[in-house]
Amino acid sequence: MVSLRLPKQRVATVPAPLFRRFLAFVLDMLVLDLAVTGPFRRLFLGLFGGGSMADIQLIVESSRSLSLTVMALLLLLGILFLSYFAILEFTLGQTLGKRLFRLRVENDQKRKQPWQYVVRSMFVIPVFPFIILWVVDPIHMLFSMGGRRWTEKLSRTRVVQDVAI
Amino acid sequence: MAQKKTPQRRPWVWIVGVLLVLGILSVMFAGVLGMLLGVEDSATIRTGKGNVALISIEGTIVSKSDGLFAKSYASSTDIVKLIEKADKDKSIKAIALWINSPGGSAVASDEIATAIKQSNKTSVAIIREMGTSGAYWVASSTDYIIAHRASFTGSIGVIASYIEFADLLTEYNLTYRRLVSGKHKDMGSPFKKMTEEEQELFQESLDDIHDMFIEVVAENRGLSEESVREVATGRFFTARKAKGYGLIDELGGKEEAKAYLKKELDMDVKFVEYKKRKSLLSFLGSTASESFYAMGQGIGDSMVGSGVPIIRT
Repeated sequence: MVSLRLPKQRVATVPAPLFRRFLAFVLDMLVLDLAVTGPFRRLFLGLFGGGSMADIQLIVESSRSLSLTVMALLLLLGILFLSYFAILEFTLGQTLGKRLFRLRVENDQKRKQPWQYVVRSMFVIPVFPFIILWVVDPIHMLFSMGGRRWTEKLSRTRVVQDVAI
Repeated sequence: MAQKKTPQRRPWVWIVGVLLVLGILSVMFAGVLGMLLGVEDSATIRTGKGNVALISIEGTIVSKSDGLFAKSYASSTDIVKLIEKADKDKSIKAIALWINSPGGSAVASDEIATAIKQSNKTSVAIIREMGTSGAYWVASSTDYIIAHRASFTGSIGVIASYIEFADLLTEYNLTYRRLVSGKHKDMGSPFKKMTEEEQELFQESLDDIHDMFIEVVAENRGLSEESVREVATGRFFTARKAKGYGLIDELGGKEEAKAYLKKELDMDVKFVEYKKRKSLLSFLGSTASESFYAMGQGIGDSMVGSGVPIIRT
């Protein structure tokens, strides 16, 4: 059998485009919504009934114990979300969304450390002080070279894409 | 020398595995938290914005019903807590009791009635299909009673009837071995014949509670005891008839209640439902209860049709 010795495709690693990153993130959040948020949705329904956000806010503000309960629930949910991102990016370098959009997380250091992947994913926790990252990360992303989030810079990781050249 | 190949991770196994584990963990956490939150003392949820607390009294009134299959009972323990919560809530200006109950325990009914009377807010009772006996006891403690014109109310009386099996035991050659200390200790036991003396004693207790009921209604409704006693034969009335006797104030429903409260409070009113927060366990229990009931109802319907006599128009 003749084997064709074709030249290996040359691949360059470049910073991932913001739009692709956004789509990958949306996909990941949809998956998490299906797999993880569902049982909590029932719990929130049981706590607040079918009220609007304004109604929920009124209910929460009227009871300190309820507002603490809600915070604890959101923290728990956030930790589950963070686990998804941290574990998959640490082990595979990719979440489901990133895999489908052919993105991956690259480490600036020689050896990857678990804390890096926890820090870079802290923004998914929807309680104070982590929600500050919802403002800080996107701003840093827009104004930094390579579109890096602030927590990515902190954790010395980056999201990249392999392109054929 | 052959290089050792690094084991390739199987990405899809990892992704599915992580999602599965997180899914299981979220179900577990939500379940445990649901149970924990459900047994909290402050187990009230209010659904939506509003300034009138709407508290439902549905089913037989009992003191406490926290069993798994307790959906069809109105627990006075829970309802009193809801009333107290509404009373403390500054955004709530009035309390409306949405009643659809045949009554129940005298103690439980009185507990709810007392809680409503002790609250500092204007109160109104809205009787939907039925507000009889203990439910009427509760309704009478509010400032205003509105009942649907085709509903039933009244039934100011006390009942403690039971089935006596003494003769059945005799027929089957079974013996009730009476071992008591205190001659009236087993008074009311269904396994023995009730003596005349015991019946008199029982009747005395029932009459006492009946008198209490009459006094409460007379005081609450501003009627004389004599006029209440005349209608307190235990019979129920349609709302129209009850209005004639002064037992209720108006025929209608929620809209009439809103109009009354708007006039009393001199402001627009909006109902907000106050209800007991359900734990995951009681949610599962009531779902199971409903399913089993529906199954039984279906089987019963198919066997006997609509055999239960109900009043139809």
